[in-house]
Amino acid sequence: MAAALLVTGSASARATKHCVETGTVVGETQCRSFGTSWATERSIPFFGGIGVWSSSISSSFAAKFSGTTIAADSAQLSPGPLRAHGGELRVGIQLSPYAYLGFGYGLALGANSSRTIESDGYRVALRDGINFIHGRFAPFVGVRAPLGRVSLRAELAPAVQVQLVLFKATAAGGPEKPGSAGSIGVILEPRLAVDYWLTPDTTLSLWSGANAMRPGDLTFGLSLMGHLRAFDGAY
Amino acid sequence: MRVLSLLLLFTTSCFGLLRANTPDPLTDDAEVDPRAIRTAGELQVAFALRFVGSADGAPMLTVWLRNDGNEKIPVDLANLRIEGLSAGGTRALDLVDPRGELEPLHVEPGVVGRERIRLADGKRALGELRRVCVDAGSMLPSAPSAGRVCFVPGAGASWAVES
Repeated sequence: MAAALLVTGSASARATKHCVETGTVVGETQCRSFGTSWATERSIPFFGGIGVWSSSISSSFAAKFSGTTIAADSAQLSPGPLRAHGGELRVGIQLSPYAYLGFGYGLALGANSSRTIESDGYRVALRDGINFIHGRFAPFVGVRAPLGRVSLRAELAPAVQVQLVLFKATAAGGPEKPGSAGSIGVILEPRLAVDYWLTPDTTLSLWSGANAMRPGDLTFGLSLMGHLRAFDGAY
Repeated sequence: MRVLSLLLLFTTSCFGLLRANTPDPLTDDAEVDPRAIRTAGELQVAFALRFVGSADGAPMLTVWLRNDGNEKIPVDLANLRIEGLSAGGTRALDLVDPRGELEPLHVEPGVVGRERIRLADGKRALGELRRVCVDAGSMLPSAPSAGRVCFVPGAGASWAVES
């Protein structure tokens, strides 16, 4: 069928790969097959969308600073866990109406309040303004329970996670200097989500996840998704 | 939280406006005679028949499918039963499907689809037809008693729905 859909050029046609429609009647059409615009079987079960998300994590770090290693823990530096808020992109494909896989990318920034601590001869505090950057690339696989206008999902995401903590440090009698400490690692995040179908091909989803290795590290978000197959194939 | 609420409100409003202002290809299409619409549950089907400029004067059947429900609905156009009446009697007409495309499919929820299919007759006597009837139920496994729509030759190339 794919070969039939492509007109690769002839003496009377330009040598392009675009399809030249010859008619609108079944059997004469070249560019689309029967049912293309209306049949479930002809739709590609892709989905994709954008969203906002937040993370709340505890982080310990060690940074080289003027030849000295400064070790600190976010629990000491910040009154609470480090928080960041940002955006995410997410695309995937339904393997069936009840299972799917895909990947997402998210970047979040946080301006956390700080305490000043003493570490290795330095007075260390989080920088003013943006002081925590949290990025992640997360393939995911999940299952879905269609319950009418609402569907429930459970998914597992082995995510590559990047964290960057921005701090400032002052040696005794010295000037304040900026520093940063980054880490990259893989986490396993189980997530739960609730979808609400705004239209047969659009969902608004609330989701939440936790790091399986550090259950106190939480993420949650709100996504607006478009689906090429109505209700992902099952209502 | 306020920003979130506003975002939610804006999004749902946009979708509401979009859907409210989207033309309905079934009822807004001048080609569709309301008498040629049959309803089977959440599915509406409509038919139109007209001559096209082919050598044998074959009528072309247009089929609209509209699913107003949330579940996909099975249709099998290959199974559509069409009868033609001429001076020689009543006989079954076939749908032209040279590439074997017609197969059982499901109509997506919330969509309107349209297909144009030429009719064929083994006796090559389509020009003599005085009446053509399409049995909507024959293509609907879930609603076999959806009813028939009959056409008689009208003015010009069009066939009129028989009252």
